[in-house]
Parts: sequence; C-alpha cells; structure tokens
Amino acid sequence: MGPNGAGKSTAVSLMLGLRDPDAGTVRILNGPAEQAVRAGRVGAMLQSSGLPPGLQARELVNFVRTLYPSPLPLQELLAQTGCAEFATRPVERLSGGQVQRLRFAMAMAGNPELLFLDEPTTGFDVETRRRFWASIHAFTRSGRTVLFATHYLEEADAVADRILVIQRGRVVADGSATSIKATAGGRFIRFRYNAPNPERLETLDGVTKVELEEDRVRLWTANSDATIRDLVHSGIPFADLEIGGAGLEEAFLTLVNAEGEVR
Amino acid sequence: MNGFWSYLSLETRRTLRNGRYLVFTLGFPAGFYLLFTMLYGKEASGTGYNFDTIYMVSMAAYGALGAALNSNSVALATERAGGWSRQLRVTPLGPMAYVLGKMATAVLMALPALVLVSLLGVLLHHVQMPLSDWGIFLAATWIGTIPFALLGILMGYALDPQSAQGGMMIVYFGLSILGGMWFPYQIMPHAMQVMARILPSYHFAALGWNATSGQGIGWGNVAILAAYTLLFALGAMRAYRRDEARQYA
Repeated sequence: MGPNGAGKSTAVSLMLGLRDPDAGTVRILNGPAEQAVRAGRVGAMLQSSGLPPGLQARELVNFVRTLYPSPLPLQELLAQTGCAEFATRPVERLSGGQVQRLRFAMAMAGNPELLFLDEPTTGFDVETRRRFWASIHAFTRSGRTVLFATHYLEEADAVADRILVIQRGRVVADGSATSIKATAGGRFIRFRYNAPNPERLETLDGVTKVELEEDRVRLWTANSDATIRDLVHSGIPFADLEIGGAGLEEAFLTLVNAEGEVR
Repeated sequence: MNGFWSYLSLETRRTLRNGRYLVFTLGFPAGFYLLFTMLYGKEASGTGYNFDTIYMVSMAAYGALGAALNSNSVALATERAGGWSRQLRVTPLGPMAYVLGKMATAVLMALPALVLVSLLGVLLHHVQMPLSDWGIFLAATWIGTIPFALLGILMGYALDPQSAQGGMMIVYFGLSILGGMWFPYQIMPHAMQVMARILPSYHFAALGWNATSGQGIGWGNVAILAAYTLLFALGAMRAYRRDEARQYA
C-alpha cells in the first residue's frame, strides 16, 4: 500500500525481474526473480497490458497455460476467474472489467505458488470485486501466497494478512491491518465513568492518553486487550463500554504524512 | 526455448485471421498478377522472357516480402508500447523465444503468397519449367525472406507504433517497386536500375528470376542477401538490446 508514486509498481517489477535493482539483490522463492518466473512458479497481473487482437479470450488463456509446466485445467480456470461467460468472444470486443478478469485468468493459468497483482481491481464493479477476492481467498487457502498492490484501503484492510506501507520507496510500516492501525494512533476504549480522580485511569495497562467527555471517558491505548483486562481487574466502575480504533485510512495518512515531514 | 512452438502457433493463427495480412500479402499480389498478365499477355515488351513466368516470380516475391516485413514491425512496436510483451515476460516464455517466435511466424507467413501466386501461374497461365527450377525458385524465395523478417524486427524494436506503421509502408513499397517487382527491371531507366542493384529486394526477386529462366542459383545475389541478412541481424540485435536496457534494466 502506498500513495501514487510511492514505488509500488517499481517494487513489483523488481520482484518479477522486470527491472534490475540499483543496489542489492532480489530473491523470491529461494532464488533470483527471473529463475522463479522462468520455472513457472510465479504468476503476475501487471497494471496495464494491451492484449493482442485476433484471438478469443479462451485461446489467449489457453496459450498462456501451455507455457507453464503444471497449469490449471482450462474449464476450471475460466470458471474460477469469471471468464467462462465471454470465453469465445474476441479479446478486442471485451469490456474493461472483462479484460481485467481475463488478465487475472492469465496470471492464474500456471497455478503459481506466488501470485503478484498490481492494482488488480481497477475497473471492477462492486459485485465483480467481491467475486474476485473470493477466488483469491480460495487460492490462498491452498497454502499459496498473493502479493497485491492497491490504493483501496478498505481492500487491504479486509483482505490482507500483512500490509506493508511504502512511501518514497521505503517501507514505513509492516504488519497486520490491526497493528498498523495501532502504530498510528491505536485504539480507544470509551465508557460511562462518573467516579472521582480519573488520573488513576492513566496507569492502566497500555493507556497512552485519557480524554474526558461529559459523562464518559475515552482511553487511547496501544493494546486494547491488555487495557480492558486491567480495567476489569482494577475494579473501576464502568458502563456502556465501546471499543473503536482509528481506521486504516487515518493510520495510512498519519504514516505517510509523518514520513513526508521527515524528508 | 520454452514455449516457442506454442507462441508460433498462436501468432500464426492471429496472422491468418488478420484482414490486413490477407489483403496485402495475398490479395494484392494475386490481383496484380491476374491484372498485369491479362494486360500484357505472353510477351512483355523488352524483357525477352515469358512475362507470365517473370511476373509470377515478381508477385510471389512481392507477397512474401510483404508478409515477412509486415508480420513483425507494427505488431512488435504495438506490443512493446501496450505492455503485452511485458506481460509475456512474466511467464516462462523467455524474451529470446518471443523474438524467435516472431521471426519464425514472419518467415512461415511468407509461404502462402508464394504458393498462391505460383498456383495461379500454373493453373491460369500454364507456366511450365523443370521441377528442379521450381524447387530452386520456391526454396530461394522462401529462405530469402529471412533478411526482411529481420528488418521487420529491427523496425519493431527501434520505432514507436505510429512511426512503425508509416515506416513499414515506405519500406515495403520502396523495396518492392524499386526492387523491380512491380515493373520489370529491364524497362527501368538506368538510374532506377542502379538503385535497384543496391537494394536487397532486387537480389531477392532475382533469385527467382534466375531460377525460372534456367540460370540456376545466382550466387552473386545470394552473397549480397547474406550481407544484408547480417546487417539487419546486427541492427535488430542492437535495437533489441537498447529496448531491453531502456525497459528492463
């Protein structure tokens, strides 16, 4: 994840061996990127790829299949990627969303161990997007890895097990959606509180800040689970407890802006 | 050479469905052959040879040249610009298999024009010659498309899609007209004859003219074509490397 120009596509290009790093080396699947690509262990959906005219969708997908040592069966592949309904249509007559699905089918064709997707859902409607991520989930359940670049924060939040936020070519955060939200602002616990001396709340486990509202108090915490456990054990009276957090979007903006200020 | 045959088969199917290919490399040579042999009859003025045979060779060479040049240049430039060649690079198809697949497609696609125009010659104008002459003519005109396929690759790597389109047309018509395929070399003004002798296309067509007039293999023409093949191969390699360095370094 990262703002435009952060280096998402460049990172993907490096990992696919499409570009050489200025310094250092890139290794994926225990070897140089190019080796993994040539061996057919990797699939990729790049941001833009014009398709050659004069072919049916299924012909193109089938051609890509034949390049790999152990491809997915054609019918299964077409069905899984939502291409079956336009399989016999010429590629030059497909809609934007259909082209995107076809490109997804080409990335999946070789049944890869590692799948790269560079902003894959651009041009998808809501339903297509939902089906797309469902098939990605089915793919990862078989023990394989998907790495995707996106600027849709909800997508990263809902789908990714691990998020790397990059800014100006550097990793500024790395973790689960929850931990990234926590590093940039954390979560809060809010409850009705009308006992005296609220200072004692500051000593609860994980609390970073206490905000008093009319009849409620809001505790910002780096670890909401620990704070609640401590709150219950401490015997402090509370009612109507809510837990919330800064959204991934706020976390993202905080991270990206902080990095901007450093420079 | 992972995927070379798959790629060749894909590209062949695409080419055979391409209307431009069918019109330019089959329709035009066949049409011109019928038109001009009907206009000029058996003996064309000043050539001294049987015009039906000479023009059969010229049009077969013209179609084959068009196919060899056409298949690569514009498609390659478009695929580089549009990202298709990039997408193929993230599959096991290596960059060399991609280029060689294009090369092989171009040479293979030169064959239909050669066969079609020859068939017209035999069936409509009863062109006759010893089998060995047919063999030399067909083989030489087919193998002789290699330098033009390389020239197509060179243009495809060196130019953007728009200039490749225009450049290909200029090169195609320049080579075929000035090379003596449209109008016989013998009736050209002297200056044009000098020009023709510099161009690879004249020596390419001359292989067929020699063979079909019983003169066997023109080794001088072969030598000049070999030199052009080397030149275009080096040029294509250079353009390829430059593109590699710019896009993938």
